[in-house]
Amino acid sequence: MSDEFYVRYYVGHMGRFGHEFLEFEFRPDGKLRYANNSNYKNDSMIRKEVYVSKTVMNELKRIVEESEIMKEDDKLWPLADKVGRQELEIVYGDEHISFTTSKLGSLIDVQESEDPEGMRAFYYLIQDLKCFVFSLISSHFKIKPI
Amino acid sequence: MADTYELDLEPGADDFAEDEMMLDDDTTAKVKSHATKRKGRGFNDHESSLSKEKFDTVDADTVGNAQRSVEGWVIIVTGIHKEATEDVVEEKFADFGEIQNITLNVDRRTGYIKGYALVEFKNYDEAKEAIDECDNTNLLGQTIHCDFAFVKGNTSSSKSHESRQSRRGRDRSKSPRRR
Repeated sequence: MSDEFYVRYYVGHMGRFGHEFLEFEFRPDGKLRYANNSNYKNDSMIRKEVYVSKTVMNELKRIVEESEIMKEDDKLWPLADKVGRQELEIVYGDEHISFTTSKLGSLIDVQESEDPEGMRAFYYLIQDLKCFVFSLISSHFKIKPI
Repeated sequence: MADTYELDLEPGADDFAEDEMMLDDDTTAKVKSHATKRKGRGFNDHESSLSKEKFDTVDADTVGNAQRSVEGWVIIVTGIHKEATEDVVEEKFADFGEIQNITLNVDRRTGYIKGYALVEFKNYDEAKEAIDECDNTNLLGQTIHCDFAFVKGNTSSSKSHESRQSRRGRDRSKSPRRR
């Protein structure tokens, strides 16, 4: 049961610099993969992977659990569009969510949506997850991930 | 439906030898297939960039199960009080060696500390001692947990793909059965 856990997040768009995106996943065995492709100013693709410990995975679980994201549903969320797309996929025990929505500019987009409570859970979880991943990647590889 | 996966529940260590990349994806696929409650619009149109290409790793430099980072050994501390500060964390760990870096992130919703910190030491021994001495101890009235943040994992790096067989053999004969 404790190993039935997987998290993946993607945000990206197709634009004048091609397909620009950020994506990361935590696999059940602790493998953290991080990819960031920005072609702006000829930046090249960053791809990093490292295994994180059980304690890191447990902290990730706690962050997911506290967000209560597994109770939400994306059916009323804005659809992905030209501006961009976000995907959040989580397996937690026997529950599996795979949410997609547009990029969210700010909390105003959240408040004005048809499901402000669900989108708020998503909005803050994404920020906490990104923050967690950037800290892990930058402390391990000594790069600025964004 | 999930019952059909029963036989995969206890993969022995030797099963890993065949093809590690396959195993990787299999574990993830298995975990996904175990889930019985599915929710969301994203189940049909997903093409992840994370399954194909080669990923950079830090060269394998491990002691026990811990993996060294580029500039030192990073430990994770969890259970940190929401009103803790960097000074509090530094004070807790300063005795074990020179702290090279502390990351203490805030909860984006509340503005308080999220509850974890990453603390980087220069040497393995310092990090190890900090973990041994501080795991399950009290900080601002809460029990904290300490561990290395990064570990060896099943595969150590995509770069060393060719040497995997030989390295694996060496690992096996050298490593003690239990730590």
